Amino acid sequence: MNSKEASPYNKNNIKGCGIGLRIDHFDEIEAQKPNIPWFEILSDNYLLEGTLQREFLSHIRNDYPVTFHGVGLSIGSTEPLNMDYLKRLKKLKDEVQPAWISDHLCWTSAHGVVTHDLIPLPYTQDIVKHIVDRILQVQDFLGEQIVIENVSSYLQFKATEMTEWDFTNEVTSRSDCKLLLDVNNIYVSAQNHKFDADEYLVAMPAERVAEIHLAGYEDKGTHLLDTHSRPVTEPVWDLFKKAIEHVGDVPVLIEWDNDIPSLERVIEESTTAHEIQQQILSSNRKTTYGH
Amino acid sequence: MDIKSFQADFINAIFGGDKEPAVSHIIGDSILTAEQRLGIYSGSVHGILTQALGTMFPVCKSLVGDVFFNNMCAIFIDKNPPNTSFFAEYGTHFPVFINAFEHVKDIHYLPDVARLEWIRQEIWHEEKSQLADFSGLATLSEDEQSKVVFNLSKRMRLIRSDYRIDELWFAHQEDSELNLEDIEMDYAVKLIVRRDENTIKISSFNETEDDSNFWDFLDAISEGNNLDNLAEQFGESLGVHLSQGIQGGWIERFTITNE
Repeated sequence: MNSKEASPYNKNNIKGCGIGLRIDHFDEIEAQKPNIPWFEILSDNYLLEGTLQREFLSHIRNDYPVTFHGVGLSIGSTEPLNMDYLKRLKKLKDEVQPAWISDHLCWTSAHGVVTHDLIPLPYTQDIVKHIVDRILQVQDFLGEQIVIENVSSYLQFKATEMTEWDFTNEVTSRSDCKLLLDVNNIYVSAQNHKFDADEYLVAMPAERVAEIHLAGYEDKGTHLLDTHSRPVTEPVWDLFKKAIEHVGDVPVLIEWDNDIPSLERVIEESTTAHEIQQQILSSNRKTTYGH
Repeated sequence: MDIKSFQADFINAIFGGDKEPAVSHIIGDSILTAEQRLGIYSGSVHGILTQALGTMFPVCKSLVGDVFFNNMCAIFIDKNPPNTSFFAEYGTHFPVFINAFEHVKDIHYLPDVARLEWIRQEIWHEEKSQLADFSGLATLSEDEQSKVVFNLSKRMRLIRSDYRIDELWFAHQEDSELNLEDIEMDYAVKLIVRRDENTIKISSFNETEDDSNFWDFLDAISEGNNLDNLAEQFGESLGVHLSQGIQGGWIERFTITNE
């Protein structure tokens, strides 16, 4: 085995079902080094140097492969790319060597204000071009393909010209970036906007999917809210099964950001995801051999 | 649709401004109107920021109660939309806001508690700096020595309060044995808040105790006084304080000014 293959940070080492690294679990992870295949870190929380989080990350990095997930790129914003943010991200990337860097297909900041939330965009050709240009700039600056995630949304625009899945396809293919397929987000948006989640899912470019996200939402009566505060729901597990059939064996991640339970409970959720994934993959293999 | 002006309208709307310009671009339906759909984002953004402030100012939150704290945050957030990607930097104006907030005027110590909590936040995010080689001081000429200015550790702050905010803070910690009712609040303190690797220590210097002179010495350094001025202010104590400050890691560097 050569040294490159032996590196735990090789992209190919991100396999199975990981979990999002949260500060609540820091001490337990450090003390017990649980058997978790990989961690996704919320990169924005580690961009300031000298912090306790940064120090902890350096420990985690010695034991686990990691990926970066951020909200600060604001790829759909009309203000210039935040170069200070990008420089910090690149520096962190060089230091930690994540398998990949992901962010969201939306905007979070504009006109000097940072909302820290994921705000959707109208799906138009103009916006496709705008975002593609910005993804290309980011990829050029970071020196690698980035991974872009579909977001949950609670509103739609009068100016929209195409479906979200056509928009996502155009953006990813024209910018040649990867896709983080958030199955929960598809379900939440499908319920909120009354479209067919299956139609969305099968339209996704399987070959571009680098990762799948799973999380729990809250039912607010009039709409579903993507809170990452609950277990994954049954309809989302069902959609996840279809996603595995569509994209095959890709890494899966459990996100749990609010009302965070014990580490054991989050691992339990990722184990469920892993078992479902293996079941679908195994059944697909049997079908393939059978033919 | 001009996306640039929409994003400006959207920002304005979710931070308490006129909603109509943003609403006009959004589709409403029988379940939720366009304004209600926009309101989901306004609620979500305020929720995210309120949660962040609650994490940074937990003792303030506990002192005024969750509902009052959340309402206070809502006003603060609309007046101070974040301009940073880092939560760790949001909240810098919160203590000043609390100080001017009419509805908490009766809780005299609250602004100082907020200052203390913010200082703790700042120190968590300060980089560790290298200690200077202080043996170089001895090689300076008398003229150069008089112009020496010292720098305190970046991971340390000084704070003075007319209230016993240190004990108030300790009483709110999980493992504290201090009872709130036992704290004599009208008691002036001089505090040093310092990060030592992964812990932050709050040390108090009573106004009437001898070592409060050491706090004043560090305070004089933080105000940029040169060695000449320090000698004038602290006379015979200067050598002891300087030695204590350097050996204890309170003083990390020195520079020679031209003044």
